[in-house]
Amino acid sequence: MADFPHAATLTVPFGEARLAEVARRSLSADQELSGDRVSRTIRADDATLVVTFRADSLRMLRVTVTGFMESLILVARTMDAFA
Amino acid sequence: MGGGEPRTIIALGLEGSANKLGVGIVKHVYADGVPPSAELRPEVVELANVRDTYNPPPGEGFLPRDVAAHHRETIMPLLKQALAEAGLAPRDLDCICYTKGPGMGAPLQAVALVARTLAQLWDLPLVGVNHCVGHIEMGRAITGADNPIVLYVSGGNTQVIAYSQQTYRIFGETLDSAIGNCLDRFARVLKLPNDPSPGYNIEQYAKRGTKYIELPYTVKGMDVSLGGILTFVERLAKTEPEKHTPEDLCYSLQETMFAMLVEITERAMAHVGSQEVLIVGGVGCNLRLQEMMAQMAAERGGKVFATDMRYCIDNGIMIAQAGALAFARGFATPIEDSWVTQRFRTDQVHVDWRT
Repeated sequence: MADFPHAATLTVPFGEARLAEVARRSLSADQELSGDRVSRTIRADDATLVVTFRADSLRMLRVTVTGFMESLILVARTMDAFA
Repeated sequence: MGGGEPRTIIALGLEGSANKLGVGIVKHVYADGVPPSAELRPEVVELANVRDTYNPPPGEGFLPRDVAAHHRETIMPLLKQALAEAGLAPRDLDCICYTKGPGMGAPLQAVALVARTLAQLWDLPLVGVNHCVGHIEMGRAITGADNPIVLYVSGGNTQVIAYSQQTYRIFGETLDSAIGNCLDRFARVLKLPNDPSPGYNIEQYAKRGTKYIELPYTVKGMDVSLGGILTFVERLAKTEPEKHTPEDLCYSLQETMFAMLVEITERAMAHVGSQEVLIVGGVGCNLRLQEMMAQMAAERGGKVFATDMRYCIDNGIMIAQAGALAFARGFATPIEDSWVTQRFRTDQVHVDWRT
């Protein structure tokens, strides 16, 4: 994408396909707040969650990935505590 | 009514739209089944209602980032505590209710993430709840107020609400700041502690106030404007601290703002022909506000209903309460539609558990 020259991909193993799919659905429900400056795609590939970010600046990319990591960790901790 | 199969709904409620994180569990019992067309009036059993509050140091307000971090840190132990208090396992639950909005984005999102994940792990329906409707339904359940004018006063909201045709309609509201926000901000000017809450500490100071200082009184039709009063009283506190004691300032601030709320509430009662007032939201704990409202209501031959800190301060069981009523009517929120929203007005909810 011309407007979003900066990209990053997170590949997160979940151990089970079921849990990767739970994480995908939980994390996909909320849009990124700065939707005009960053795009995000989330997919589950078997037991792996694959998240791709594209942003208009490196700063935006860093902020978005950092924020997403906090959400991801929360979902993983919920699974640890209650799965 | 009657004739139907008995039905029990046990709902878990998660609330974190501001600086309180709450987890509650409620049980609704319909001995004769859920009536298809009548108002839902289940027997309500409180099974758990636990809360953890994020308090910044004196002089500081809470920031969404820090509040969200608090909720993320606290939510697992709080969930476990609620389930333990209720003596329940996840399989005993019927639905998971969470606050969809309104509120602060990051904290709402953190709690919603946990709610969505639990709903999938435990294979339970998810129910998105309007925070304001949660307050109203919990207030009605606790006080037994049947069809009251609702004064909803908190850190983020100031509304006068009346029920009509399956909608909680907003009759009047603040045109700028919420009343709790004004009280919190003035507490910061005076460097009052945020523990247990800034509003509580203002209330204690106000009790010792003796001299009424005239402040701008701004009622516009059914609405109030509170921002100007705050600016005015802040200036007095900062520029002429020797002239006015903090106690007198707190007293005068409360008297003025509460009088404005009493005025618009009374007008709503007259419009609707209601004799009842229900006060909900964190500022609803304020005994002076309850007293002023009770005086007005008594003069009209009416009555005030209020709850204590367990229910008027943000909590989880109110989300479970409103969610369980909607769920009994078949409402659920698919995961894909479970996004949170900072703006979600009280009158956007279809109240189909009432008639």
